[in-house]
Amino acid sequence: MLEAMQPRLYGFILKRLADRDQTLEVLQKTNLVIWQKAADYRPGTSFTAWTFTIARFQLMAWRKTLSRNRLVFSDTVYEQIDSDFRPSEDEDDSRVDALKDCVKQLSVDENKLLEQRYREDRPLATIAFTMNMNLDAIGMRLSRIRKKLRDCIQQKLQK
Amino acid sequence: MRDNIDSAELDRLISFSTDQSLSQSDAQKLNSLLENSAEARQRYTEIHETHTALCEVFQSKTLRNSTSPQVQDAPTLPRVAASSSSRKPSRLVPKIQLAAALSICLLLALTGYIIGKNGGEVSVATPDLTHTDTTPVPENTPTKKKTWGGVESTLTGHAVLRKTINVIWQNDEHGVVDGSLLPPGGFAFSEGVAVIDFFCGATLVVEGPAQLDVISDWAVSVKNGRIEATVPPAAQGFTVKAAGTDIIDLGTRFALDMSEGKAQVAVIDGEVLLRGKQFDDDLLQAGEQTSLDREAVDSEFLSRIPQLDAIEQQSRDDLKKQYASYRNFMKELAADPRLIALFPAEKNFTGRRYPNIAKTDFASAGQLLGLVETVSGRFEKESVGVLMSRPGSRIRTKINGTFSAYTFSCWAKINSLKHKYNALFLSDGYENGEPHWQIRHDGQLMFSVMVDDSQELFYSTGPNSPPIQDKGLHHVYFSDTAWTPSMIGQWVHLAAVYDPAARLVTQYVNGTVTCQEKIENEFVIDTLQIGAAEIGNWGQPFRKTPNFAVRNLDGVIDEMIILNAALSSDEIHDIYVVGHVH
Repeated sequence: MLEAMQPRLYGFILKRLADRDQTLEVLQKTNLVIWQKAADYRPGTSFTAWTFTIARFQLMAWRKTLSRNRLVFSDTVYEQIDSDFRPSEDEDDSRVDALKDCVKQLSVDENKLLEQRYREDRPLATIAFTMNMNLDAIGMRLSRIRKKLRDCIQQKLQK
Repeated sequence: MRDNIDSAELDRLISFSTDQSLSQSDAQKLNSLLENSAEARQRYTEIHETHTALCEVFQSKTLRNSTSPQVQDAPTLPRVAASSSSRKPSRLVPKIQLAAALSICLLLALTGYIIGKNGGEVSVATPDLTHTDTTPVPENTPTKKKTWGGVESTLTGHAVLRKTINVIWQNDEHGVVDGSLLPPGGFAFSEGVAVIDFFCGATLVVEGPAQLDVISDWAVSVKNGRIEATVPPAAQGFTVKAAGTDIIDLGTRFALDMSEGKAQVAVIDGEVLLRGKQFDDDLLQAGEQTSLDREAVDSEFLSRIPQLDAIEQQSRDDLKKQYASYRNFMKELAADPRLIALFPAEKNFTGRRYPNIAKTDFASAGQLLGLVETVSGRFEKESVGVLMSRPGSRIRTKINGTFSAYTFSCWAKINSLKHKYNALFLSDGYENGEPHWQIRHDGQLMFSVMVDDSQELFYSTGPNSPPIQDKGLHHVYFSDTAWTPSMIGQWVHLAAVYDPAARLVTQYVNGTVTCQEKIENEFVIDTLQIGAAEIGNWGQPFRKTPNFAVRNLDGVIDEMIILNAALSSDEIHDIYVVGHVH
């Protein structure tokens, strides 16, 4: 389950750090603590909420150790973003289901780009190089795809 | 009230924050935007939620492996449990529960990974039809079974419905067509004749009204209908159950009449064994007949038993008539000024030229290239179709002129979608205004028109090959799944209408709309052209390398109509109806 949780845990941390490299480090630390504290987990309670709580402590610790200029968010913004901490597994599940449908509506090229960016986890610069495009153009294209998917997901969830 | 934010800039910053590290100035901008606007924070949350869902659907190796090194470095689970147990020996049960929970967790993780992996492919939740069994199947989808040699497809059925003639199904057995497998269970039709081949080798010709229950490869129960059974030596032992009696074939041809309350059997050739009710393994021999319910035998009943030869002759006559009316329709259509090209289902080819019978002079005849085969078309021996199963197979044409809309319509019998993209009609160079019409490996129709070929892109052909130059701004209009393996061996009518004036792309399967999509402003192009193009394959796709994509359609095409107009759904339906063989 921990392995299956990784994308959500990663997303949870990334949202609060807005930095991919830092997120991967905090994710590793969080995973370690989850394994060390496995005995403290109470079966029957939400595994997701439990792991998010551990991640929040790790995030706080991380922010204390890092110099301010390496952090994207000020304490104020961090608190604002962290304040809507309401893990809803059902919502996340429905979003993933909706996304699976929405992805089908994308063009082949858009799908290809998502494959490279997400599944193959290729750096943007590499994708940009192979597609002979500049970095910003690839970034913008991904941004447009995410927006399109967000709209599609919202439409489906409203139904 | 809406906050006054620069949403384009905000989106750029949010998106970049998910993909890479932000520069210090971008980080400050993002921080400031979020700090001052609840709307910006909402947007930030939504895009991150989408990003997280994408990470889940397209799960990367990085995230899949992110727990592994820690498992090795960290205390292992049994040690954690042991230390816990040494502190709190009384919590043995929760400890076991925890171990079980985590075992289940790991199992679920693996399941999640498999589901995620499958669900995250480009063809999310759609079957990959790249490799398909060539056995004709009904609507039941092949399941995959593990065997010593790997995974193999399995299907359910005891018999094949070889042929139906004017059959009217009683319970709307939708999807049951000639070539369908008959799974165990009942079926009934009110009129017409069906020819059924059981897997053991026995053949039944059944005339309706009929009600049968398929029991196994070797047995069928008949409640109603007139039947002729042919049982070759290999199928000796084939059993027909009727009126409480087992009619066991010993290598023969026999007739059974269960119509209008009768129950009688007559042996035409060989012998059968009767068992049950008043029979005690009684032999019935050639020329003998008996009632299964002690009623008197109607001596005329043999004359009413369906004769396959006569039925087939009738069927051939009907097909000829239908082909004649189809030809008349095509002759009328050929004079339609909107036509660009018309390659109809022809009675025969002369040489390797597929005649274009359109009266307009935009298009040349189709030139058959490579290892194409002319095979029976929709109207069986009345017409031919072109089989293009080999990679080099193609029908090549040249179409001059400029157009303002497109309608493409064709009949195809597809064996498999063995390539990623499978061609229906593709222009060579895919320049501005040129169309591409094809089917993806998952059965979705794809129609597109090049909008701006001056925009250059690079297309990766694999890790060890240099990128190939591809071009252009275009949008692919996908249909829902239009073809599944259950349609192997069936003729299917496909159509795509590109209507720049109405800003609509509509696609059809068997005369019915399967999808309709708006043409967005950036993809509108109203000056259309075709040039050199191919039916069933793609020629000269990339100009600067010898490489070419393999896109030949593994199947038969026997009609292609191209019009400089957006046909209405009624017109498409007419083309389907006149070309649909009953």
